[in-house]
Amino acid sequence: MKTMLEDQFNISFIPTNMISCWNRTSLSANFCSSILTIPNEKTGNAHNTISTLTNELIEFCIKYGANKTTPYDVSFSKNKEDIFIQLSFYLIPSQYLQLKSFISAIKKSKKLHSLESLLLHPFTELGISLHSLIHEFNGKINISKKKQTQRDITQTVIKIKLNEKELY
Amino acid sequence: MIIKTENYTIENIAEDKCKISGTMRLPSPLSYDQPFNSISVGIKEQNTCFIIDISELEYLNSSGITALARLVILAKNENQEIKLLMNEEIPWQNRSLRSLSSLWKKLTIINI
Repeated sequence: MKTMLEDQFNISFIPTNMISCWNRTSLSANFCSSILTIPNEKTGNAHNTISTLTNELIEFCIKYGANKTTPYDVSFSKNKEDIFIQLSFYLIPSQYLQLKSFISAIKKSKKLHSLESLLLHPFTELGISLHSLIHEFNGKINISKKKQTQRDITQTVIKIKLNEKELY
Repeated sequence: MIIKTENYTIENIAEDKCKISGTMRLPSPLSYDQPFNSISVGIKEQNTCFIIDISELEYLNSSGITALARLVILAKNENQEIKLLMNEEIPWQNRSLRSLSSLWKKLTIINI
């Protein structure tokens, strides 16, 4: 782990290392959350929320990412009001398009009436966590292509912005 | 029956009541099939309301929420009434669970 500023740090991990010991995913999420949220009366249970979101992001890229022997990065930063989480990983181009359209659909759907249909989608689990992120935590999410690293692999960046008060 | 691991415990405290506590972040919805098996059986076999107590479940990942949603759908298919006992002081429960009630009208979510 590289620590930069007090309110800015990032972790790098190799997906295959996490797959070989699944518990590392949860431990990493809890660790990052501990750095980002200092428990006090004001922040309440923000630790639980940040850990949950971070765990979902790490799990997602481990499950769906391409190039699983290459390091993936998650960076965290915060200012007085907002927390920023950026995930940089790899997808095959068709998955990138599928994910982009899936995120767009979830942004539009406020109710989870479609949960039953969501359960049949290939990105089911991500769908549930994204729905929660967008509609329950009022998070902002954007996905973009950084570059085509190899012919069949796209470096993908997911950026999330959360208002800290929404987490309390 | 009790399933106890380093991270979580699942205990059948009565024929119609099961309690899950700790941290459940298993790799996929499928990996919940075995630990949730006794709950599935309870939902299928009980004539009265089946109760799932998750008030001490600190963390559950979206695979687990998916597995929980599938239990709700199982109850719907069996026309079985179920109660989910939650703890609103645990943020993911407070924010994420209420949406499950849209899946089945005989699911009651109670904060304890």
